[in-house]
Amino acid sequence: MRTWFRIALGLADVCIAAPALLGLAACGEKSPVAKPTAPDMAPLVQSYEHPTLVLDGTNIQAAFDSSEVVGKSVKIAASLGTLVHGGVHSGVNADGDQQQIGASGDTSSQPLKVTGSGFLLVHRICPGPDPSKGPDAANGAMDLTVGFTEKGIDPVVWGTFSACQFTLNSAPATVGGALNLFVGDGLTFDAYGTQPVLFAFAGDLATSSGTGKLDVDVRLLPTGAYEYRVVVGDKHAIYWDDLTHRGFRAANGTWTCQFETKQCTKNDDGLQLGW
Amino acid sequence: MHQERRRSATRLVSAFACGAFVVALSAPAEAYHTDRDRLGYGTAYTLGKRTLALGPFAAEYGLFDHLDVGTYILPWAVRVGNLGVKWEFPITDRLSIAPQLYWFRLDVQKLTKKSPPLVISVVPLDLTGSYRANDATTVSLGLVYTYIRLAGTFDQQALQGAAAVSNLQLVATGEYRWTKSTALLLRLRYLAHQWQPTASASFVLHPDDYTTVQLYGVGRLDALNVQNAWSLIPGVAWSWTTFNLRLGLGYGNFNVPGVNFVMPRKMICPELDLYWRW
Repeated sequence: MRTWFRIALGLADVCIAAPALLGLAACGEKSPVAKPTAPDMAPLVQSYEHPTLVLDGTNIQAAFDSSEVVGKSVKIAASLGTLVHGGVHSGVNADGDQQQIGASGDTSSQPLKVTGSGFLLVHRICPGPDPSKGPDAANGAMDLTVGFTEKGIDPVVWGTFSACQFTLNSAPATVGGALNLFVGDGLTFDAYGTQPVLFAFAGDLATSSGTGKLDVDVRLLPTGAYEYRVVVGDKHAIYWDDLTHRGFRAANGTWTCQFETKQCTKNDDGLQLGW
Repeated sequence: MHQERRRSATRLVSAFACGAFVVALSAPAEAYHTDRDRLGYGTAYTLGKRTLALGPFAAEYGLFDHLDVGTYILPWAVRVGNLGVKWEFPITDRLSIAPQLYWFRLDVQKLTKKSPPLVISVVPLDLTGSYRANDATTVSLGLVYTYIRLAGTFDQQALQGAAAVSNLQLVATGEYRWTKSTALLLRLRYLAHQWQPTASASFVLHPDDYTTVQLYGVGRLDALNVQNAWSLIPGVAWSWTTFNLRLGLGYGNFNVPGVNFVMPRKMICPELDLYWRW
Protein backbone atom coordinates (compact mmCIF):
# COMPACT_ATOMS: atom_id res chain seq x y z
CA MET A 1 0.00 0.00 0.00
CA ARG A 2 2.82 2.32 0.94
CA THR A 3 4.51 1.53 -2.37
CA TRP A 4 1.46 2.42 -4.41
CA PHE A 5 1.01 5.56 -2.39
CA ARG A 6 4.53 6.64 -3.28
CA ILE A 7 3.95 5.87 -6.96
CA ALA A 8 0.73 7.86 -6.87
CA LEU A 9 2.50 10.73 -5.15
CA GLY A 10 5.21 10.72 -7.77
CA LEU A 11 2.77 10.72 -10.64
CA ALA A 12 0.72 13.41 -8.95
CA ASP A 13 3.80 15.57 -8.83
CA VAL A 14 4.20 15.20 -12.58
CA CYS A 15 0.52 15.72 -13.22
CA ILE A 16 0.59 18.96 -11.25
CA ALA A 17 3.70 20.21 -12.99
CA ALA A 18 2.69 19.28 -16.53
CA PRO A 19 -0.48 21.34 -16.77
CA ALA A 20 1.37 24.26 -15.25
CA LEU A 21 3.94 23.99 -17.98
CA LEU A 22 1.32 23.53 -20.64
CA GLY A 23 -0.41 26.56 -19.21
CA LEU A 24 2.80 28.50 -19.62
CA ALA A 25 2.97 27.23 -23.16
CA ALA A 26 -0.51 28.42 -23.91
CA CYS A 27 -0.06 31.84 -22.40
CA GLY A 28 0.77 34.80 -24.54
CA GLU A 29 1.18 32.96 -27.82
CA LYS A 30 0.40 36.01 -29.87
CA SER A 31 2.15 36.72 -33.09
CA PRO A 32 5.04 39.08 -32.33
CA VAL A 33 4.14 41.35 -35.22
CA ALA A 34 0.67 42.08 -36.54
CA LYS A 35 0.02 40.88 -40.05
CA PRO A 36 0.33 43.87 -42.37
CA THR A 37 -2.58 44.88 -44.58
CA ALA A 38 -2.07 44.32 -48.27
CA PRO A 39 -2.69 47.08 -50.82
CA ASP A 40 -6.09 47.01 -52.47
CA MET A 41 -5.68 45.68 -55.99
CA ALA A 42 -9.36 44.99 -56.52
CA PRO A 43 -9.95 47.96 -58.87
CA LEU A 44 -7.04 46.93 -61.07
CA VAL A 45 -8.14 43.29 -61.07
CA GLN A 46 -11.65 44.37 -62.00
CA SER A 47 -10.35 46.51 -64.83
CA TYR A 48 -8.64 43.45 -66.31
CA GLU A 49 -11.78 41.38 -65.91
CA HIS A 50 -14.13 43.99 -67.32
CA PRO A 51 -12.73 46.16 -70.13
CA THR A 52 -14.90 49.21 -70.76
CA LEU A 53 -13.99 50.10 -74.33
CA VAL A 54 -16.46 49.06 -77.04
CA LEU A 55 -14.06 48.37 -79.89
CA ASP A 56 -15.23 49.70 -83.25
CA GLY A 57 -14.00 51.45 -86.34
CA THR A 58 -13.76 54.79 -84.57
CA ASN A 59 -11.29 53.70 -81.89
CA ILE A 60 -9.44 50.68 -83.23
CA GLN A 61 -6.60 52.87 -84.53
CA ALA A 62 -6.22 54.57 -81.14
CA ALA A 63 -6.27 51.22 -79.36
CA PHE A 64 -3.53 49.93 -81.62
CA ASP A 65 -1.40 53.05 -81.11
CA SER A 66 -1.85 52.80 -77.33
CA SER A 67 -0.80 49.14 -77.37
CA GLU A 68 2.39 50.06 -79.20
CA VAL A 69 3.30 52.74 -76.65
CA VAL A 70 2.40 50.77 -73.55
CA GLY A 71 4.04 47.65 -74.95
CA LYS A 72 7.52 49.11 -74.51
CA SER A 73 6.94 49.60 -70.78
CA VAL A 74 5.32 46.20 -70.50
CA LYS A 75 8.45 44.46 -71.76
CA ILE A 76 10.38 46.14 -68.95
CA ALA A 77 7.66 45.19 -66.48
CA ALA A 78 7.88 41.59 -67.63
CA SER A 79 11.59 41.58 -66.75
CA LEU A 80 10.81 43.01 -63.33
CA GLY A 81 8.06 40.45 -62.93
CA THR A 82 10.59 37.70 -63.49
CA LEU A 83 12.75 39.13 -60.69
CA VAL A 84 9.77 39.31 -58.38
CA HIS A 85 8.73 35.81 -59.28
CA GLY A 86 12.17 34.54 -58.21
CA GLY A 87 11.80 36.25 -54.84
CA VAL A 88 8.31 34.98 -54.15
CA HIS A 89 9.23 31.49 -55.29
CA SER A 90 12.22 31.39 -52.93
CA GLY A 91 10.02 32.66 -50.10
CA VAL A 92 7.20 30.18 -50.44
CA ASN A 93 9.67 27.35 -51.00
CA ALA A 94 12.00 28.30 -48.15
CA ASP A 95 11.33 25.22 -46.07
CA GLY A 96 13.54 22.14 -45.98
CA ASP A 97 17.05 21.33 -44.90
CA GLN A 98 18.72 24.73 -44.73
CA GLN A 99 22.16 23.19 -45.04
CA GLN A 100 21.24 21.71 -48.39
CA ILE A 101 19.11 24.45 -49.82
CA GLY A 102 21.18 26.46 -52.23
CA ALA A 103 23.36 23.49 -53.02
CA SER A 104 23.36 22.20 -56.56
CA GLY A 105 19.88 21.21 -57.55
CA ASP A 106 18.14 22.79 -54.55
CA THR A 107 16.86 19.35 -53.73
CA SER A 108 15.87 20.26 -50.19
CA SER A 109 13.79 23.29 -51.08
CA GLN A 110 10.11 22.65 -50.48
CA PRO A 111 6.92 24.61 -50.05
CA LEU A 112 6.00 25.89 -46.61
CA LYS A 113 3.28 24.02 -44.79
CA VAL A 114 1.26 26.17 -42.45
CA THR A 115 -1.82 25.70 -40.33
CA GLY A 116 -2.54 29.28 -39.45
CA SER A 117 -2.25 32.85 -40.53
CA GLY A 118 1.05 34.67 -40.95
CA PHE A 119 3.33 36.34 -43.41
CA LEU A 120 6.78 36.20 -44.96
CA LEU A 121 9.19 39.06 -45.36
CA VAL A 122 11.41 38.18 -48.27
CA HIS A 123 14.63 40.10 -48.75
CA ARG A 124 16.32 39.22 -52.01
CA ILE A 125 19.53 40.67 -53.35
CA CYS A 126 19.24 41.78 -56.96
CA PRO A 127 21.34 40.01 -59.59
CA GLY A 128 23.33 43.11 -60.54
CA PRO A 129 24.81 43.96 -63.92
CA ASP A 130 26.80 40.72 -63.94
CA PRO A 131 24.82 37.90 -62.32
CA SER A 132 27.73 35.50 -62.70
CA LYS A 133 29.55 37.31 -59.87
CA GLY A 134 27.10 36.05 -57.28
CA PRO A 135 25.22 37.91 -54.56
CA ASP A 136 26.42 41.39 -53.64
CA ALA A 137 24.44 43.69 -51.36
CA ALA A 138 25.72 46.63 -53.40
CA ASN A 139 23.44 45.48 -56.21
CA GLY A 140 20.37 46.60 -54.25
CA ALA A 141 17.48 44.43 -53.24
CA MET A 142 13.80 43.83 -53.33
CA ASP A 143 11.70 43.34 -50.24
CA LEU A 144 8.43 41.49 -50.49
CA THR A 145 5.61 40.81 -48.09
CA VAL A 146 3.77 37.55 -48.68
CA GLY A 147 0.76 36.97 -46.45
CA PHE A 148 -0.70 33.54 -46.00
CA THR A 149 -3.35 31.50 -44.28
CA GLU A 150 -3.68 27.76 -44.07
CA LYS A 151 -5.58 27.97 -47.36
CA GLY A 152 -2.52 29.30 -49.14
CA ILE A 153 -0.95 32.54 -50.25
CA ASP A 154 -2.95 35.72 -49.74
CA PRO A 155 -4.15 37.23 -53.04
CA VAL A 156 -1.78 40.22 -52.97
CA VAL A 157 2.00 40.18 -52.61
CA TRP A 158 3.64 43.57 -52.35
CA GLY A 159 6.96 45.24 -51.77
CA THR A 160 9.65 47.51 -53.10
CA PHE A 161 12.70 47.59 -55.29
CA SER A 162 15.55 49.52 -53.66
CA ALA A 163 18.25 50.61 -56.10
CA CYS A 164 17.89 47.20 -57.64
CA GLN A 165 20.42 46.53 -60.36
CA PHE A 166 19.70 43.99 -63.06
CA THR A 167 20.17 43.49 -66.77
CA LEU A 168 17.58 44.72 -69.22
CA ASN A 169 18.10 43.54 -72.80
CA SER A 170 21.67 42.61 -71.79
CA ALA A 171 22.38 46.15 -70.59
CA PRO A 172 22.70 47.33 -66.95
CA ALA A 173 19.63 48.94 -65.44
CA THR A 174 18.56 50.13 -62.00
CA VAL A 175 15.03 50.23 -60.70
CA GLY A 176 13.42 51.61 -57.56
CA GLY A 177 9.79 51.83 -56.54
CA ALA A 178 6.73 49.99 -55.33
CA LEU A 179 5.36 46.77 -56.72
CA ASN A 180 2.14 44.84 -56.24
CA LEU A 181 1.40 41.34 -57.39
CA PHE A 182 -2.06 39.77 -57.56
CA VAL A 183 -1.64 36.01 -57.48
CA GLY A 184 -5.31 35.06 -57.16
CA ASP A 185 -7.46 33.65 -54.40
CA GLY A 186 -6.68 30.39 -52.62
CA LEU A 187 -3.36 29.74 -54.35
CA THR A 188 -1.51 27.05 -52.42
CA PHE A 189 2.22 27.37 -51.77
CA ASP A 190 3.12 24.57 -54.13
CA ALA A 191 0.93 26.00 -56.89
CA TYR A 192 2.72 29.32 -57.05
CA GLY A 193 4.00 29.87 -60.58
CA THR A 194 1.28 27.80 -62.21
CA GLN A 195 -1.37 30.52 -62.34
CA PRO A 196 -1.51 33.97 -63.98
CA VAL A 197 -0.27 36.89 -61.90
CA LEU A 198 -1.12 40.53 -62.27
CA PHE A 199 1.97 42.66 -61.76
CA ALA A 200 1.91 46.42 -61.16
CA PHE A 201 4.89 48.70 -60.68
CA ALA A 202 5.31 52.42 -60.07
CA GLY A 203 8.76 53.94 -59.72
CA ASP A 204 11.91 54.98 -61.52
CA LEU A 205 14.00 53.16 -64.05
CA ALA A 206 17.55 54.14 -64.94
CA THR A 207 19.23 52.77 -68.04
CA SER A 208 22.17 53.86 -70.15
CA SER A 209 19.79 56.13 -72.05
CA GLY A 210 18.58 57.98 -68.98
CA THR A 211 16.24 57.92 -66.00
CA GLY A 212 12.49 58.00 -66.24
CA LYS A 213 9.25 57.21 -64.50
CA LEU A 214 7.76 53.78 -65.00
CA ASP A 215 4.11 53.16 -64.14
CA VAL A 216 2.86 49.94 -65.65
CA ASP A 217 0.78 46.86 -65.05
CA VAL A 218 0.67 43.57 -66.88
CA ARG A 219 -0.87 40.15 -66.39
CA LEU A 220 1.70 37.40 -66.89
CA LEU A 221 0.76 33.81 -67.62
CA PRO A 222 2.98 30.80 -66.87
CA THR A 223 3.07 29.98 -70.59
CA GLY A 224 4.82 33.27 -71.35
CA ALA A 225 1.61 34.82 -72.63
CA TYR A 226 0.70 38.23 -71.31
CA GLU A 227 -1.89 40.98 -71.48
CA TYR A 228 -2.08 44.61 -70.54
CA ARG A 229 -4.41 47.56 -70.54
CA VAL A 230 -4.64 50.06 -73.37
CA VAL A 231 -6.48 53.27 -72.71
CA VAL A 232 -8.56 55.17 -75.23
CA GLY A 233 -10.07 58.31 -73.76
CA ASP A 234 -11.63 57.30 -70.46
CA LYS A 235 -12.20 53.72 -71.59
CA HIS A 236 -9.84 50.79 -71.77
CA ALA A 237 -9.42 47.47 -73.52
CA ILE A 238 -7.03 44.61 -72.81
CA TYR A 239 -4.31 43.83 -75.30
CA TRP A 240 -3.44 40.13 -75.26
CA ASP A 241 -0.62 38.05 -76.74
CA ASP A 242 -0.56 34.27 -76.30
CA LEU A 243 2.69 33.98 -78.28
CA THR A 244 0.76 32.63 -81.27
CA HIS A 245 -1.98 35.17 -81.72
CA ARG A 246 -2.60 38.73 -80.59
CA GLY A 247 -5.59 40.95 -80.19
CA PHE A 248 -7.87 42.82 -77.82
CA ARG A 249 -10.44 41.97 -75.18
CA ALA A 250 -13.03 44.70 -75.22
CA ALA A 251 -16.45 45.36 -73.75
CA ASN A 252 -18.00 43.92 -76.89
CA GLY A 253 -15.96 40.72 -77.03
CA THR A 254 -12.56 39.28 -77.81
CA TRP A 255 -10.84 40.19 -81.04
CA THR A 256 -7.95 38.50 -82.80
CA CYS A 257 -5.90 40.90 -84.87
CA GLN A 258 -3.44 40.84 -87.76
CA PHE A 259 -1.45 43.94 -86.91
CA GLU A 260 0.59 43.69 -90.10
CA THR A 261 -2.56 43.97 -92.21
CA LYS A 262 -4.30 46.20 -89.64
CA GLN A 263 -7.33 44.01 -89.33
CA CYS A 264 -9.14 42.49 -86.34
CA THR A 265 -11.74 39.74 -86.31
CA LYS A 266 -14.22 39.23 -83.54
CA ASN A 267 -13.86 35.70 -82.22
CA ASP A 268 -17.50 34.84 -81.64
CA ASP A 269 -19.18 36.15 -84.81
CA GLY A 270 -16.42 36.87 -87.30
CA LEU A 271 -17.13 40.62 -87.43
CA GLN A 272 -14.15 42.45 -88.91
CA LEU A 273 -12.58 45.84 -88.16
CA GLY A 274 -9.78 47.60 -90.04
CA TRP A 275 -7.86 50.78 -89.72
CA MET B 1 24.51 44.43 -46.32
CA HIS B 2 24.54 40.72 -47.02
CA GLN B 3 28.17 40.41 -45.98
CA GLU B 4 27.39 42.29 -42.80
CA ARG B 5 24.57 39.87 -42.07
CA ARG B 6 26.95 37.00 -42.67
CA ARG B 7 29.53 38.49 -40.30
CA SER B 8 26.80 39.03 -37.78
CA ALA B 9 25.60 35.47 -38.23
CA THR B 10 29.14 34.20 -37.85
CA ARG B 11 29.52 36.00 -34.54
CA LEU B 12 26.21 34.65 -33.39
CA VAL B 13 27.20 31.16 -34.47
CA SER B 14 30.38 31.50 -32.45
CA ALA B 15 28.48 32.74 -29.43
CA PHE B 16 25.98 29.95 -29.65
CA ALA B 17 28.67 27.38 -30.31
CA CYS B 18 30.38 28.61 -27.17
CA GLY B 19 27.12 28.49 -25.26
CA ALA B 20 26.24 25.07 -26.62
CA PHE B 21 29.69 23.77 -25.75
CA VAL B 22 29.46 25.17 -22.27
CA VAL B 23 26.04 23.65 -21.73
CA ALA B 24 27.21 20.42 -23.32
CA LEU B 25 29.97 20.16 -20.79
CA SER B 26 27.63 20.87 -17.96
CA ALA B 27 26.08 17.52 -17.28
CA PRO B 28 24.70 17.20 -13.75
CA ALA B 29 26.76 15.65 -11.05
CA GLU B 30 27.07 11.93 -10.40
CA ALA B 31 27.97 10.16 -7.22
CA TYR B 32 30.11 7.46 -5.55
CA HIS B 33 29.68 3.85 -6.50
CA THR B 34 28.15 2.71 -3.22
CA ASP B 35 24.68 1.65 -2.24
CA ARG B 36 24.03 5.12 -0.92
CA ASP B 37 25.83 7.13 -3.55
CA ARG B 38 24.70 6.59 -7.10
CA LEU B 39 24.99 8.22 -10.47
CA GLY B 40 22.54 11.06 -10.79
CA TYR B 41 22.60 11.98 -14.48
CA GLY B 42 20.03 9.99 -16.40
CA THR B 43 18.82 8.17 -13.29
CA ALA B 44 16.19 8.69 -10.61
CA TYR B 45 18.73 9.06 -7.80
CA THR B 46 19.37 12.14 -5.69
CA LEU B 47 22.35 13.19 -3.58
CA GLY B 48 20.96 12.88 -0.08
CA LYS B 49 20.35 15.44 2.62
CA ARG B 50 22.97 18.19 3.06
CA THR B 51 25.21 16.80 0.37
CA LEU B 52 26.93 19.11 -2.07
CA ALA B 53 28.20 18.15 -5.51
CA LEU B 54 30.26 20.91 -7.01
CA GLY B 55 32.24 21.04 -10.22
CA PRO B 56 33.10 23.54 -12.89
CA PHE B 57 30.01 22.60 -14.83
CA ALA B 58 27.27 22.22 -12.26
CA ALA B 59 26.36 22.57 -8.60
CA GLU B 60 23.77 20.45 -6.84
CA TYR B 61 22.70 20.35 -3.24
CA GLY B 62 20.56 17.86 -1.37
CA LEU B 63 18.02 19.91 0.54
CA PHE B 64 16.33 16.82 1.92
CA ASP B 65 16.92 13.09 1.74
CA HIS B 66 15.33 12.86 -1.68
CA LEU B 67 15.17 16.40 -2.95
CA ASP B 68 18.00 18.13 -4.82
CA VAL B 69 18.27 21.61 -6.20
CA GLY B 70 20.86 22.44 -8.78
CA THR B 71 22.15 24.72 -11.45
CA TYR B 72 24.50 24.50 -14.39
CA ILE B 73 27.38 26.83 -13.57
CA LEU B 74 29.14 27.59 -16.81
CA PRO B 75 25.98 28.65 -18.67
CA TRP B 76 25.78 31.56 -16.23
CA ALA B 77 29.06 32.79 -17.72
CA VAL B 78 27.25 33.27 -21.02
CA ARG B 79 24.20 34.65 -19.24
CA VAL B 80 22.07 31.56 -19.45
CA GLY B 81 20.12 31.63 -16.22
CA ASN B 82 19.03 28.22 -15.02
CA LEU B 83 17.72 26.40 -11.97
CA GLY B 84 16.41 22.93 -11.33
CA VAL B 85 14.88 20.58 -8.80
CA LYS B 86 14.78 16.78 -8.63
CA TRP B 87 12.54 14.77 -6.35
CA GLU B 88 13.21 11.08 -5.84
CA PHE B 89 10.53 8.65 -4.76
CA PRO B 90 12.04 5.35 -3.58
CA ILE B 91 9.30 2.86 -4.37
CA THR B 92 11.09 -0.27 -3.19
CA ASP B 93 14.65 -1.10 -2.27
CA ARG B 94 15.35 -1.66 -5.95
CA LEU B 95 13.08 0.82 -7.67
CA SER B 96 12.98 4.61 -7.60
CA ILE B 97 11.23 7.13 -9.74
CA ALA B 98 12.00 10.81 -9.91
CA PRO B 99 10.46 13.78 -11.64
CA GLN B 100 12.92 16.55 -12.42
CA LEU B 101 12.15 20.08 -13.49
CA TYR B 102 14.61 22.62 -14.85
CA TRP B 103 14.34 26.10 -16.24
CA PHE B 104 16.68 27.96 -18.58
CA ARG B 105 16.47 31.45 -19.96
CA LEU B 106 18.73 32.75 -22.69
CA ASP B 107 18.61 36.30 -24.01
CA VAL B 108 20.56 35.92 -27.22
CA GLN B 109 21.14 39.63 -27.60
CA LYS B 110 23.13 39.59 -24.37
CA LEU B 111 25.50 37.19 -26.05
CA THR B 112 25.94 39.41 -29.04
CA LYS B 113 24.43 42.82 -29.59
CA LYS B 114 24.19 42.26 -33.32
CA SER B 115 21.96 39.23 -33.07
CA PRO B 116 18.28 39.58 -33.77
CA PRO B 117 16.22 39.93 -30.59
CA LEU B 118 15.45 36.48 -29.24
CA VAL B 119 14.73 35.09 -25.80
CA ILE B 120 14.71 31.32 -25.48
CA SER B 121 12.96 29.84 -22.45
CA VAL B 122 13.51 26.14 -21.90
CA VAL B 123 11.68 24.03 -19.34
CA PRO B 124 12.71 20.37 -19.36
CA LEU B 125 10.48 18.09 -17.32
CA ASP B 126 11.48 14.49 -17.04
CA LEU B 127 10.24 11.42 -15.25
CA THR B 128 12.86 8.74 -14.74
CA GLY B 129 12.62 5.33 -13.21
CA SER B 130 15.71 3.43 -12.05
CA TYR B 131 15.76 -0.26 -11.25
CA ARG B 132 18.67 -2.00 -9.54
CA ALA B 133 18.73 -5.48 -11.02
CA ASN B 134 21.59 -6.50 -8.75
CA ASP B 135 24.44 -4.90 -6.86
CA ALA B 136 26.33 -4.13 -10.07
CA THR B 137 23.63 -3.39 -12.59
CA THR B 138 21.17 -0.52 -12.74
CA VAL B 139 18.81 0.24 -15.57
CA SER B 140 17.09 3.62 -15.92
CA LEU B 141 14.34 4.70 -18.28
CA GLY B 142 13.37 8.31 -18.67
CA LEU B 143 10.67 10.26 -20.44
CA VAL B 144 11.88 13.80 -21.07
CA TYR B 145 9.51 16.52 -22.22
CA THR B 146 11.21 19.81 -23.02
CA TYR B 147 9.09 22.87 -23.50
CA ILE B 148 10.90 25.51 -25.51
CA ARG B 149 9.46 28.96 -26.03
CA LEU B 150 10.98 31.37 -28.49
CA ALA B 151 10.19 35.05 -28.30
CA GLY B 152 11.77 37.16 -30.98
CA THR B 153 13.51 36.25 -34.18
CA PHE B 154 14.91 32.76 -34.46
CA ASP B 155 17.64 32.45 -37.06
CA GLN B 156 18.28 28.78 -37.45
CA GLN B 157 21.61 29.49 -39.11
CA ALA B 158 22.71 31.19 -35.90
CA LEU B 159 22.04 28.00 -33.93
CA GLN B 160 24.02 25.92 -36.40
CA GLY B 161 20.87 24.18 -37.45
CA ALA B 162 19.93 23.00 -33.96
CA ALA B 163 16.23 22.33 -33.63
CA ALA B 164 15.26 24.47 -30.67
CA VAL B 165 11.67 23.30 -30.54
CA SER B 166 9.68 21.54 -27.86
CA ASN B 167 10.26 17.83 -27.93
CA LEU B 168 9.77 14.53 -26.19
CA GLN B 169 12.72 12.19 -25.74
CA LEU B 170 13.12 8.69 -24.42
CA VAL B 171 16.36 8.03 -22.58
CA ALA B 172 17.64 4.66 -21.44
CA THR B 173 20.77 4.38 -19.31
CA GLY B 174 22.50 1.22 -18.28
CA GLU B 175 25.17 1.15 -15.55
CA TYR B 176 27.45 -1.71 -14.73
CA ARG B 177 29.76 -1.32 -11.74
CA TRP B 178 32.96 -2.93 -12.84
CA THR B 179 35.03 -2.05 -9.80
CA LYS B 180 34.40 0.04 -6.71
CA SER B 181 35.66 3.11 -8.48
CA THR B 182 34.79 2.34 -12.10
CA ALA B 183 31.39 1.96 -13.69
CA LEU B 184 30.58 1.33 -17.35
CA LEU B 185 27.70 3.24 -18.88
CA LEU B 186 25.61 2.99 -21.99
CA ARG B 187 23.09 5.68 -22.86
CA LEU B 188 20.51 5.52 -25.65
CA ARG B 189 18.52 8.62 -26.47
CA TYR B 190 15.65 8.76 -28.96
CA LEU B 191 13.70 11.78 -30.13
CA ALA B 192 10.11 10.54 -30.01
CA HIS B 193 8.29 13.70 -31.00
CA GLN B 194 8.74 17.36 -31.80
CA TRP B 195 6.19 20.10 -31.41
CA GLN B 196 6.13 22.85 -33.97
CA PRO B 197 7.29 26.35 -33.13
CA THR B 198 4.81 28.79 -31.66
CA ALA B 199 3.66 32.04 -33.19
CA SER B 200 5.47 34.03 -30.52
CA ALA B 201 8.61 33.94 -32.61
CA SER B 202 9.59 34.72 -36.14
CA PHE B 203 11.91 32.44 -38.02
CA VAL B 204 14.68 33.37 -40.40
CA LEU B 205 15.35 31.00 -43.27
CA HIS B 206 18.04 31.15 -45.92
CA PRO B 207 16.78 29.30 -48.97
CA ASP B 208 19.66 30.51 -51.14
CA ASP B 209 22.58 32.93 -51.10
CA TYR B 210 20.44 35.78 -52.44
CA THR B 211 17.42 35.38 -50.24
CA THR B 212 16.57 35.80 -46.58
CA VAL B 213 13.06 34.93 -45.51
CA GLN B 214 11.60 36.02 -42.22
CA LEU B 215 8.53 33.99 -41.32
CA TYR B 216 5.89 35.13 -38.85
CA GLY B 217 3.43 32.46 -37.77
CA VAL B 218 3.94 28.88 -38.77
CA GLY B 219 2.20 25.55 -38.64
CA ARG B 220 4.80 23.02 -39.56
CA LEU B 221 8.31 23.97 -40.55
CA ASP B 222 10.37 21.11 -41.89
CA ALA B 223 13.51 23.23 -41.58
CA LEU B 224 13.19 22.67 -37.82
CA ASN B 225 12.00 19.11 -38.08
CA VAL B 226 14.66 16.61 -37.06
CA GLN B 227 13.42 13.15 -37.83
CA ASN B 228 14.72 9.82 -36.60
CA ALA B 229 17.12 11.45 -34.17
CA TRP B 230 18.96 9.19 -31.77
CA SER B 231 22.30 8.82 -30.09
CA LEU B 232 24.13 5.95 -28.46
CA ILE B 233 26.90 6.88 -26.07
CA PRO B 234 29.06 4.40 -24.15
CA GLY B 235 30.96 5.88 -21.24
CA VAL B 236 32.88 5.35 -18.05
CA ALA B 237 32.27 6.91 -14.64
CA TRP B 238 35.07 6.97 -12.07
CA SER B 239 34.55 7.76 -8.43
CA TRP B 240 37.27 8.37 -5.86
CA THR B 241 37.19 9.76 -2.36
CA THR B 242 35.51 12.97 -3.29
CA PHE B 243 36.40 13.43 -6.93
CA ASN B 244 34.18 12.08 -9.71
CA LEU B 245 34.78 11.95 -13.43
CA ARG B 246 32.57 10.78 -16.26
CA LEU B 247 33.62 10.43 -19.89
CA GLY B 248 31.60 9.23 -22.82
CA LEU B 249 32.00 9.06 -26.56
CA GLY B 250 29.31 7.92 -28.93
CA TYR B 251 27.51 8.61 -32.17
CA GLY B 252 24.20 10.07 -33.26
CA ASN B 253 22.31 13.33 -33.18
CA PHE B 254 24.01 15.40 -30.53
CA ASN B 255 21.62 16.53 -27.82
CA VAL B 256 22.65 19.70 -26.04
CA PRO B 257 22.37 18.59 -22.42
CA GLY B 258 19.93 20.43 -20.24
CA VAL B 259 18.20 22.43 -22.94
CA ASN B 260 17.72 19.37 -25.19
CA PHE B 261 18.27 21.09 -28.53
CA VAL B 262 18.79 18.35 -31.10
CA MET B 263 21.36 18.74 -33.86
CA PRO B 264 20.04 17.69 -37.26
CA ARG B 265 23.23 15.93 -38.33
CA LYS B 266 24.59 12.75 -36.85
CA MET B 267 28.08 13.14 -35.47
CA ILE B 268 30.51 11.95 -32.81
CA CYS B 269 28.94 12.84 -29.47
CA PRO B 270 31.16 13.51 -26.44
CA GLU B 271 30.13 13.56 -22.78
CA LEU B 272 32.18 14.96 -19.94
CA ASP B 273 31.45 15.72 -16.32
CA LEU B 274 33.65 16.21 -13.28
CA TYR B 275 32.86 17.32 -9.75
CA TRP B 276 33.71 17.01 -6.08
CA ARG B 277 31.26 15.74 -3.55
CA TRP B 278 31.06 16.59 0.13
